[in-house]
Amino acid sequence: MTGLNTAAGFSLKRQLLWWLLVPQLVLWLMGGVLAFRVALIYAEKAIDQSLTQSVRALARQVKPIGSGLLVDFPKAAQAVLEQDPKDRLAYTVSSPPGSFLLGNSNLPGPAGAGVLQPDDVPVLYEISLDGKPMRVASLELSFGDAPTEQRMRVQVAKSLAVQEAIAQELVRDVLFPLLLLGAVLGVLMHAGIRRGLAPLERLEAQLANRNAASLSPIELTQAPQEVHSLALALNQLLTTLRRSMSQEKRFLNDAAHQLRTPLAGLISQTELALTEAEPQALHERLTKVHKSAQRSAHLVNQLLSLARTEADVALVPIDVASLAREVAREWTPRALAAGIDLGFEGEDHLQAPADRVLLREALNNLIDNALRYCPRGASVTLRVRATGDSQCVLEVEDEGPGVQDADLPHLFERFWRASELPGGCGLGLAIVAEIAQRHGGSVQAHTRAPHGLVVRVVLPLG
Amino acid sequence: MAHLLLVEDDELLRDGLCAQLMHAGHTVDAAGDGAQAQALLESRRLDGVVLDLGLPPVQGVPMDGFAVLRWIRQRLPHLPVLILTARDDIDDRVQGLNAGADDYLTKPFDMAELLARLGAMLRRSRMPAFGGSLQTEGTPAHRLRLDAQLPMAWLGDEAMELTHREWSLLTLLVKQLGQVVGREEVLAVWQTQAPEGGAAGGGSNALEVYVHRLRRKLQDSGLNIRNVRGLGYMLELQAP
Repeated sequence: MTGLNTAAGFSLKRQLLWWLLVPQLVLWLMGGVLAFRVALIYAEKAIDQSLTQSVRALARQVKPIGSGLLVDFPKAAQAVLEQDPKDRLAYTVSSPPGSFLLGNSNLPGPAGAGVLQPDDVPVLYEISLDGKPMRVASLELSFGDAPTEQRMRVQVAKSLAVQEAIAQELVRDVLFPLLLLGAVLGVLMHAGIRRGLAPLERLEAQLANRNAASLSPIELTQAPQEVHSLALALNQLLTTLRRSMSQEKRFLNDAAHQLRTPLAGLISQTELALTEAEPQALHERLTKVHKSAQRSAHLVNQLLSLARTEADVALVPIDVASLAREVAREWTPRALAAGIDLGFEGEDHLQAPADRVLLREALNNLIDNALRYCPRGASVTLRVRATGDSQCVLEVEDEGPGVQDADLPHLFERFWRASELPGGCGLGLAIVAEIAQRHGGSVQAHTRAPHGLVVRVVLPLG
Repeated sequence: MAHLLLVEDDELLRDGLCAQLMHAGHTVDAAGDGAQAQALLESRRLDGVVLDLGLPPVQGVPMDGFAVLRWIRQRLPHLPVLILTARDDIDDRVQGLNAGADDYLTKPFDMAELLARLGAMLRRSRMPAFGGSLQTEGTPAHRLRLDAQLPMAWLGDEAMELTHREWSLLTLLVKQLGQVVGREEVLAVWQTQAPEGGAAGGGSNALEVYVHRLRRKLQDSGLNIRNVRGLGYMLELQAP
C-alpha cells in the first residue's frame, strides 16, 4: 500500500480551491488592467470632447476686424475657462500662429510646427508644461480677405492628471465590487468544496479506526455517486477479506487442535514410559511415542505445504508425464518395501501448463495416500493421459479398502478422514484439491470395483 | 562405512542423529556451531557433511549454515554436503543448492530417508575417488565391480562379457542401485552410441531384450534387475 501513498500531502480540497481561485484571481487582475485601459481611453475621449468644445467656443470669440482681431472675451467666459484653480485651462491665441496674442500661458504648437494645419479642424496632442503632461486642442483659422488673408491659432490645454483621476475613479468603482464579489465567491467555493468532499472524510473516518478484526461493511448514507461506488467496491473487498479471514481462522483453530492431539499423546506416553520398569512395556510405549511424533511431523509438513499452495503460482508448460514418472520412481523403493506394486501407465510425454513444485506435491500426496491405505500385494497405478477436450488427466488408482460412496464428497475437505488408520492427518487430498484449483483444474474421486479408490486430477492443457 | 561430520545446534536432534548415523555404521563427529564445525573440518579427513542451515552466531558474529557451506566450498570443493533445514521455502532450497550443497532435506524427516539420501550422495562422490570404478557391496564372490576407464566389469573374480549397450545399461543401474532407472534415461544414453547389430533398433523392445540378457548374465550374483511397471528398471540386492 505504500506505493499509493507516495503522493502524501496531496489534498483534493486544496487542489480544487487552487484551481478555482487562482484562475479567478488572474482573470480579476486582467480585468482590472483592461478596465483601467478602457477607462483611460474614455477619459481621454471626454477630455478631447470638452477641449474641442472649448477651443471652438474660444475661436468664436475672436473676430477679425479689418486686418486686426477683436477678442470678445467676457469675464464670465473667462471664469468658466479658469473655473477650477487646480485644473486650470490654459489657453493661447496667436496670429500668425506662434506669435502670442492673448492667453494665460504660451502653449507650443503641434508637433511638426510650420506644417500647414487644415482650417477649422482641431488638432489634439500632448505636451509637457512645467513638467506636467497636458492635452492640447489646437484650431487654426484664416481671416481677412484674399490678398491680406491672415491666420490665427487658438489653443486650449488641460492637465492630464484629470484623465488619470477619472480612470482611477472608474477602475475603483468597477473593481472594488468585483473584488468583494470574488471574496464572497471564494468563501462560497470553500464551503462548497468542504460540503462536496464531506462524504470522503466520513469514509476516511470510518476506515481509520479499522483493523483486521473489524471488517464489517462501511455504512454511507447520502453519499454522492462517485463516493458511493468507491464505498461499494471497498465493501466488496471487505466481504471477501472477511470470508477468507474467517476461513483462515477456522483452519488455524483446526490445525492447532489437530496438532494438540498428537502432542498430548506424546506427553502422556512419555510420562508413562518414564515410570515403566519392564523393558517390553517400555518398548511398546516408546513405539507409540515414535508413532505420535511421526504423526505430528507429517501434520506440520502438510500444513506448510498447504500454506505454500496459497502463494502465487507460475504456470509454465512442463512435461507432466515425465514429472509423474519421476515422482513415481522416487516412491518405488518405499512401495517395494511395503510390498505394493507401484506402476505407471499412459503418455510418454504430455505438455501442460503447471507449477512443477506444486504438481509434484499433489502427486506425492496422491501416491502417499494410496500407499498408506493399501495392503501388501496390492497395486497402485499412476496414469497420465490427454482427453479429447484438451484436458490432462492425472490419476492414481489403488486397490485399497476405498471409501463409502456417501463419504466421497467429503474426501477433499480439510481434516476430514475416511479411516482411523494412523499416520494420516486429513490434509493430503485437501492439498491436492487446492493445487488442482490453483492450476485452473478440478479433482474427483470415485470408487473402484471390487474395492479401491481412483482420485483424478483434471488440468487444462492450455 | 563413512566418516561424517554432523553440524546441528539443537542438542536433542544432534544426539539422536548422531546415534542413528553411528548405528547405520558411520563414524560421526558432531558440532554445535560453525566454529566447531570449522575446527573439525580442518583436523579430520571426512567423507561427507550433514549441515543444518539455522546455526547460532559464534561469539556474536552471525555464522549460519550458508556461511559454513561457503567456507567448505572454498577449501574442500569435492566434499559432499547434505543440508538440513526447518524452512522449506523454494528460495532456500535453491540458494542452498546454488551455494554448493549436494542434497537437501527438510525437517522433520524420516531417518530412513536421510540414510538413503546420504548413501546416494556418498556413492556419487566416491566415483571419482575410485578412479572411475564402482562396486557393489556383498560377499567377494558376488561383488560386482565396474571400471569405466577400461571399460570392464567383473562379477567376483570373473570378467563379464558385455556389449557397449549392456555396459552402459549396467553402469546406469549400478550407479542408481536401489533406485529406478527410467527407460528414457537408458535410451538417451544409447542415442549417443553407435548402433549395435543383433537386436533391432534402439526402442523399448530392444531395451527389453538387453535387460533380459543382462539379467541372465547376473544370474546367481545376488543382484536382480527388477522391472518396475511403466517406470523402468531397478537393480536390487536380493536378500541372502
